[in-house]
Amino acid sequence: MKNSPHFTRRRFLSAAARTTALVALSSPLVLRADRARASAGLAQGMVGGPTGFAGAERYQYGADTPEGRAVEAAKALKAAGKAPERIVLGLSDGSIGQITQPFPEGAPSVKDLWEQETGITLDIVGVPNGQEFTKVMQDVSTKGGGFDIYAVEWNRLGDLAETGGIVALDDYVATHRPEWDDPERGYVNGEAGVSLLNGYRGSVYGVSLDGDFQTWNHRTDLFNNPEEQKAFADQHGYELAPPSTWEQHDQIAAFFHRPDEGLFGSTDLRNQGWGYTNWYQRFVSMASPNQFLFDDEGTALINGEAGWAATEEYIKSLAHHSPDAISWSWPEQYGNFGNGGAAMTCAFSNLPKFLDNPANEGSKVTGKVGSHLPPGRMHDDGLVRRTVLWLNLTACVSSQSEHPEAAYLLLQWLGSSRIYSWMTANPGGYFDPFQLANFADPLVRETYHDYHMDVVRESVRRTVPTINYPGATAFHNALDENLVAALTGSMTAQEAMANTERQWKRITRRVGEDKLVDAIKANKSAWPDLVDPAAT
Amino acid sequence: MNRSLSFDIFRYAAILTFLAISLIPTVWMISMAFKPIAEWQASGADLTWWPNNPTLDNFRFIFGESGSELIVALERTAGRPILASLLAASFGTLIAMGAGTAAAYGLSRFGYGGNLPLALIQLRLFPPMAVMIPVMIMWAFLGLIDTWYGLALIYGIVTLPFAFWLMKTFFDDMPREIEDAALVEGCSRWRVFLRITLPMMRPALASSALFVFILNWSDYLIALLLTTRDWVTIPVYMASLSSSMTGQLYGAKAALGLIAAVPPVIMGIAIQKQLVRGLTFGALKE
Repeated sequence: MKNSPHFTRRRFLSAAARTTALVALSSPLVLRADRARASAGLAQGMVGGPTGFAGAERYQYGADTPEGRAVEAAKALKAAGKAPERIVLGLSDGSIGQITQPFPEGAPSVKDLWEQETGITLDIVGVPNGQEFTKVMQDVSTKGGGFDIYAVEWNRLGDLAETGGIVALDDYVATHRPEWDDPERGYVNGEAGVSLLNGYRGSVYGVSLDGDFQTWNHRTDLFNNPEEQKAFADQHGYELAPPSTWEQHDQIAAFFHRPDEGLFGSTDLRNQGWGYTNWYQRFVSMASPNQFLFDDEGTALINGEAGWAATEEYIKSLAHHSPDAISWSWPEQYGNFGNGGAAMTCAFSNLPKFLDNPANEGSKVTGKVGSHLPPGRMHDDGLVRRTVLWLNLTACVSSQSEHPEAAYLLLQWLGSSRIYSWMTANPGGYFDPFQLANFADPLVRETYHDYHMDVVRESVRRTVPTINYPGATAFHNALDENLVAALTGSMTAQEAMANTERQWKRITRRVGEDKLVDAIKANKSAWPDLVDPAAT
Repeated sequence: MNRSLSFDIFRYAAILTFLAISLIPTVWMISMAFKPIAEWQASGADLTWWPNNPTLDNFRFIFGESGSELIVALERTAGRPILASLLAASFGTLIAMGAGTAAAYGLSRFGYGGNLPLALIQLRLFPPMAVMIPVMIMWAFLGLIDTWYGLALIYGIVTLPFAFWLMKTFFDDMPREIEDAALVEGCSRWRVFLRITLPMMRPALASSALFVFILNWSDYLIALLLTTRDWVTIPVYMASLSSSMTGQLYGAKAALGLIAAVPPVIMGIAIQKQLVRGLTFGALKE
């Protein structure tokens, strides 16, 4: 074999050395070329943000922006050896897609962008929907240390802070200036909104990553049908339109309730853990501007005329619901509405994003969904319409995290208006718009629909917070269990309210009245005082 | 029609009725597993027992191939949870059966551990939730959270009372004279246990093991609390199969349920002969 190459050990080593040197030399060039390509799409003056799609510059940021400061600080931590290789984020399974799936076409994913800009890996651990708090408490109570960041229902912050499971973020906020209260781009209601969503007893404990202002939807094909309109007007003496009051809501729901045809009147939720959001809406609109749950001394106000009436209404409303209403959660609700099974419903603000969506081939209501403000009650000074904030994922930094500042910086970056607008426009998950910049963003409006975004923004102005005092979980469980008992007929409305009041008194004593009164006052400051004119 | 024939007709009609009632959920699950998404939530006249357009999309979907209409993407597929369930349930059964059989034999033959039966049954006296917090803390300390062997260990512990009590009943019912005869012939006690007693106990072992395996296989609560990501089991994974696009992913859940039914059914068929004998073991006493 004269022509065959003659491999000697010397030649092999020489070739290997040359190859190694070439790879070593070329790697920085490749990395630099990548970085150059990434930054090539950035608008002038911008230091970071997504590229590769039309309008990407809206989500890019300069050095002196919340996102820019977060990234630069994370890079500085990394350079100083004070940042972790990876940050572990525990997140509802259904929300992960908005961080991991590129959107729109040509864009990187949120996760890829963070990792590319900071060099810190983002490790997302999926948590079954509805099990978020269970998993967090598991990690807290066992000192498992499995997460740097928890994402839980917004009103669990108090309980988690009191148990020492999460850290106060005030120092990081002061240093890195997230500008959540920016009047142009920040939270609705400015500082009060920030305090409501991220704060507990005067400190920042979380960063909101959601906008679960419960919003009402209806079927436009039914409401705009001339035959339905005539039949309704003949029956009730006024025109068929999205309801302004609870009385109208109940009449319209009864009108459309045709279970034999696979159509329910209204499918706002009635199950444990959810149903009380509808009860809240009915109860808090009993007085103007608000019927509060507690007075300023911490005395429960539910066991009286307002509480009984709201609960009676709540029980009666089962008549225009699915027979399985008590066991329905939002997946059943969404599935039913997408299948054309309801005339009205009240849901997360993302319902039109998922169900009025041509890409959702299974949905029978694409192009047939409308949104409206919550029903309310007439009072002397006008119409009080109220909805409620629930469930709203808020991310907080675990007290077991070895790198809380880096974890906070990720949250500042994710939760600031540019990245959050880009992320929430992505139809791949549950995060919903809640910042002023989100409501105005073209990509968000395209995903969520113009008709819906304006209603959501107005619903936010009429939203009351759920209980976020220490003991919030126990307060809600007590209310929830008694309401479910009332729905099943095992107790009357009066008994349900009396039981709840009794249990709330016990919880109040256990938590400590002073602590509770402080938290009630802080919570009340976030309640809206908007009263609509009678005609709206 | 004589009385005996009438009675037989009534008897078979009753059996068929109860059989039909008990099989309805299974039949519905099988049917749903092959239904396309458009038929998952059908109601009124559109509701059918069998799929109008049967498809394997639900099976493809849970293994990571997005079906034509199932536009939601899964963060993880069913493969790993199936493996987790198989490992945890099988090894948990081994632990429970190994320890339970040995303990039951010792108590039945020698009276060792007089309070053992009561001590073991204490494991089942409390609702699982009441003991899970300390278990979680111990498992976290031992580094057993989110591991298949940690799950197998707790499964072995919580099903040990079943294994023990079932096997003790079987050992008590087995004639000791056979063992005594072997001992007289010069067999050691250990050899008697391995060569005489255990082979005779095969039906009892099979039926007990199947029962324990099904308990482990179908657990939700323990797996939910002791796993986080890598080793979630089928029931925990199944709970995550919902989306905002489609609501509950009924078809995907049914497909996974059908797959989950396979191992116990195969085990049942494989040990059918032993199972029947095991279930009637000791029914006739001397």
